[in-house]
Amino acid sequence: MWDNPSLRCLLAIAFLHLLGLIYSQETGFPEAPENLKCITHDLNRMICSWDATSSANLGLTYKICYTNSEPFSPVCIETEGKRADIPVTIGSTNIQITTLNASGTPLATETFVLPEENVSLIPLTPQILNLSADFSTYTLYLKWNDSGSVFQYELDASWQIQILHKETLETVALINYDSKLTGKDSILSWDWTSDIPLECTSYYVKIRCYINEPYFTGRKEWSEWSPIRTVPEKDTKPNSPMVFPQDKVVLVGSNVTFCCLYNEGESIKFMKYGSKSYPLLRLNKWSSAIKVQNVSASISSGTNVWCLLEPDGLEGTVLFVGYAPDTPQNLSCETHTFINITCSWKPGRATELYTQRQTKYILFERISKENVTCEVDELKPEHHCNFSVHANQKIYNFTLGASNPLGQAESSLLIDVTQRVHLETPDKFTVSTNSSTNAHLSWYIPGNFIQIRLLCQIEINNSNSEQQLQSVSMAGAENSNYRAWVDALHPYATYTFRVRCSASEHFWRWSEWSEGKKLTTLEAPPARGPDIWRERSPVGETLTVFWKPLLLSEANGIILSHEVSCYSREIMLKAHEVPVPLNSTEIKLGGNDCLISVVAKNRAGSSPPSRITSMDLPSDNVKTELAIATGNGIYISWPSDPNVTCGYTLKCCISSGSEPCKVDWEMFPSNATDAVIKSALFQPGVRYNFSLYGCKHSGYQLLQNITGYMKELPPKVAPNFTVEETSSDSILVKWEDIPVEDCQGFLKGYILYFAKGEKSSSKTSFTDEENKTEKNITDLTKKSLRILDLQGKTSYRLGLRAYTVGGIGPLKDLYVVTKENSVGLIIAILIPVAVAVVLGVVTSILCYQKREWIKETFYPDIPNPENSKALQFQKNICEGNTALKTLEMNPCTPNCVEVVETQSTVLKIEDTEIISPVADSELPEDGSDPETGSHVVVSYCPPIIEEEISSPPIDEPVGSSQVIYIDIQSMYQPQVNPEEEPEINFVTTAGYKPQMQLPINAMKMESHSPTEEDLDKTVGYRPQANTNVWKLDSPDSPISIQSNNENGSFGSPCSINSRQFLIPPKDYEDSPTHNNTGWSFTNFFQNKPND
Amino acid sequence: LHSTLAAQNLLVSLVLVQLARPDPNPSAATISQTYNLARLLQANTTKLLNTYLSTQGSPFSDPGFSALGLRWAGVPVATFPFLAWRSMGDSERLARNYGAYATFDAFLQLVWDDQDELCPDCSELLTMLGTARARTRGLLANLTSIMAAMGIPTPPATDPLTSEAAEVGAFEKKCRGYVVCREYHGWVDRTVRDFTLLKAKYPA
Repeated sequence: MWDNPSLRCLLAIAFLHLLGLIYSQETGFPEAPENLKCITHDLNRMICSWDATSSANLGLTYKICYTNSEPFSPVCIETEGKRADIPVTIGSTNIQITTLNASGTPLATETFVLPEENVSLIPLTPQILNLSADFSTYTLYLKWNDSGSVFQYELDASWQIQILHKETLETVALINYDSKLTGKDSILSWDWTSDIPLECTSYYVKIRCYINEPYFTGRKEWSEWSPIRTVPEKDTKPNSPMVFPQDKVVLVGSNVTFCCLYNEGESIKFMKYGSKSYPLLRLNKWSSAIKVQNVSASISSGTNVWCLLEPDGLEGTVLFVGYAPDTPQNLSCETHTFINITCSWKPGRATELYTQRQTKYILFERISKENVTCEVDELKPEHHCNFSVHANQKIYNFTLGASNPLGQAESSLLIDVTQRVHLETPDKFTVSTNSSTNAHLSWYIPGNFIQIRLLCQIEINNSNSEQQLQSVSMAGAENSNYRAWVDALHPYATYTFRVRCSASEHFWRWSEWSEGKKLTTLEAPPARGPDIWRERSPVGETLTVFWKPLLLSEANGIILSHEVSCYSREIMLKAHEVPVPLNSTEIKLGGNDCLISVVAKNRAGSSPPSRITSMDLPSDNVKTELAIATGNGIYISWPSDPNVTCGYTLKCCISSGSEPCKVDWEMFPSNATDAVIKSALFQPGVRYNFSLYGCKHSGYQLLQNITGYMKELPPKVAPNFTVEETSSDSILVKWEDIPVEDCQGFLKGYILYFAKGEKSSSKTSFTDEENKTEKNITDLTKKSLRILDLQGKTSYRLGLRAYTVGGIGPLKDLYVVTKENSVGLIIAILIPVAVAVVLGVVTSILCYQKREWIKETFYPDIPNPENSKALQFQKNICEGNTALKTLEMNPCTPNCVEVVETQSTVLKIEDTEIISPVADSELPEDGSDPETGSHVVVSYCPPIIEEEISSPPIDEPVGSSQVIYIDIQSMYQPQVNPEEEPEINFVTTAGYKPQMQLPINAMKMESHSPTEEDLDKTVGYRPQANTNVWKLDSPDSPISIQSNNENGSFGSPCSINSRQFLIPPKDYEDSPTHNNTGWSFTNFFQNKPND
Repeated sequence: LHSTLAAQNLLVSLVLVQLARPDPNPSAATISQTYNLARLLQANTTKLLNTYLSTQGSPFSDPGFSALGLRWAGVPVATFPFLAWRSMGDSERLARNYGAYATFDAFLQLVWDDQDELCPDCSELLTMLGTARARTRGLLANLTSIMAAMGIPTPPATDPLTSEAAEVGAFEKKCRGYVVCREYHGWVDRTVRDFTLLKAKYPA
């Protein structure tokens, strides 16, 4: 809207008009007043001041006449100063100020129209009445007068309080505070808490005021600031350096600022909280501070905060950090004596503050409005406090207040003291008796219990640790002894008594038990007569009377003796006293039966008598029955006997160890037919014998004998057994009974084991035997057994064990060998002999019939090479070259040939042909060549040899040549080991030449052969100059043994002397084995003809 | 620990019993006994100082804490110029000892009170402070006996503590306790030296 130019123009015109109103009367004289300003403090009067030029004229005065806008007559006042006090009016005020000289002559007159808006409302400058400080809480307290009486009505006032650092004059805080003026003077107060100790630095405080009169249209302004007030210094402000705050207690987790004050000339090195250094905040030139955040609980002597000063100084303070007290927990109040009420509670969380700073407890009772301060030990887990019981007050409403420097807490409890009685432990407890069944008790309880009844509990413990509680109610008394008595005690028994008490009507808690007191009651006569039995001697002259000692509870004292008497028709015949500890006596009957009476006696008297007759009734056919073992006792049953009128007695005599057996008995009513007998003396595996007597009108009769075990065990020993007789297929075994004491139970049978086995066998148990046989013999009368179907002359192992219900006993074994079976043996010898004879006969016949064939085959006069298996073998070797038949192995030239038949011409031609290298070279090309195959002659003779053998006469023609191969092996030997036995070879084989000479021939052959390869292939021969190869080929060569080359030259009868060289070169290394094998075959055939 | 304390107490008792006996050469024998007592005290003052420091929190409990500059008005200081000490007369030597321990007697009680308030659970420290004070009294009795035997008048009893002593801050109490324990330790050392000298001078 201000953007509108016409509107702005209007406002400017209005403003100029207003100015014209104020200064409209200006005359232009120098003395004329100007710049009229009016202020009001109370909206009643205003002080107007103006400026006027002071001329040389002294003694100027001013006449001020003012009128309100109403047509009132003007009021005029004269003043010498340039200010006047005139009333504040609503709207405008016309003010005419005339300057007068000393003589009263007006010099100048100025008229002002003062609108209300131009009047300023400035409240009176407030004055601080009081500024005080609480150094412990860092709080400043400010008080001032609001001068409300200046205005006669309520007004809103605002105050501004400024706190400044004294030294730096920095504003620490500027706070606004609103109040209401009430028309009367009021003292206003305000407080401010610093976040650092007030000792750390000094502060200034000032205040000003603003009055908000909404209906005053003039200017409203803040008053002047009040004069500065300084925060008063602590009275005990030290001159020496110090650290603040001193010994302050704060909550865990608080933020605390500490400052260190020091003197001029000193400086601060560092400041630490505990052992940790904090950055210093400089407050002023003599004070620095540190801020510690979130402090944790301190040790009991507090956390030290200290600053180290230079040049020398250590200053510090202690901060105690802890917790406000927890609400007292489990507050409980009770009275022990009705004199005091004791309240107890648990403090809850520890405050970590001690001594002066620890929690203080005050117990306040609301009804009586009394309170007590409780002395507690902070270190104890439970606290107590006593409050006096008031007469005629039953209900107490307690409030327990806990407080420490950090806070307070409280717990309340409402009680009826008569319902919270917890008596003290009964004291001076005594017990006494003057009878065998009663006891008197007395005890003392401190306190005044007149208004309640007491309930006491008496605990009675006897010597068997049996406990009994008796309660007794009694009227309460004041600090009194209380009495009670207990009855139904056992005579001559020791008891321990204790007592505890409580309030009867409103049970709260039992007191502690009193100390225990022991008491033994007096003796009384035995409660009953002893159990008795009697046994007549075999002759019947004497009767032994037995009795059992009474139980302690029945004896009612110490049994001194037993009186045994014998009555016949109510007349006592005999009586005598048997002292303890005897429990039997003999009575001579003298042929008369009597009624025996036994009485037990102690100091207090005699027991009622126990009676038994001495009469025995005859019994016949008394059977012995077996009892059943139950494991912990013996079950015995008997047939009911209608004649038995006064019960059964079961008697036994149990011996323990080496002592003679002790007679024991047990009685049963007449209707009983069975019983389980138990005794600590019973042992498992031991046989016990019982006799059952029936009590009949006229006496006792033996009804039956019973034998049994408490627990049956396996037999202790194995039955003793022997072999009575053995045959080839059976054994007769005989055994003996096991003694009764070793049976440990009723024998049920035997188990006989047998199995084949030698004595040396390592097997120790029959359970290991796989082929064992076992026989169960349940017939106990049987004492022998024949084992059949055994093998003759065989060792058997036999074992025998006995068994009872309790288990199987140990094993006894022995070895037995059955006798020999002669028929079988004979058959076993005869059959092989017969078979051998038959075989011999058949063979002989066959041989005879086929003798020709055999001879032909095995012993021909002239061996047929075709049929020779050995030669057949050779044929196989030469497979692939059919031309090479047995003796046609080519080349092959015996070094020594003995010609038996002389056909010199033919042989010579043949030899020549054979020698021909041309012919030689043709051979190997095709092994299957029919032409080559047709040569049935020794087809190869080395040229060198030829020269030598050509000279001796050739006896044998080719066609039917009888070649005798002589000692080929010996001839060969030199080749095997030429170095060792060269001479021998030369001697035996004259025609032989060492093959070392062969190279000449080889060269010769080479020149004739088309190619060297052809030669190698076709001719098995290799120049023997190759000594290495030769050696390898030797039959004894280790390598040769391993070889299995089919192409080995062995067996070639045409090349006996030089078959080594028939081997194709490529096979040299693989072939030797055959040579070796071949030798043995060769020898065989070679030697045959000679044989 | 208890057995050694008991043994030490027994020794103190023996020393005190010895004092009660008439002795042909009282001062010489008592000097020797006092020397023994001082040696016994010497062993315990170090422990007292360490225990004290350990219970006061940092910086006192920091390892190797020492503030030799720290003083407390009225607490006797053991340091002394050597020559002056060496040439000191017997009466002055004994009187100074007497004066020092009379003051320590009061200060040890003050420290006990301070610690009972500041550190109620420091039972070991409180026991040691109590023991130290008892032994100081024993030492004072010995000194009185020697001085009486030598004809030296005992200095008049003065209360070294003012009422302001109790109104100091907790930190100052801790500092005061430290100074008392430290100077007590120093003075016992000095007494041992004094009596070494006296023992040589008055052989039993």
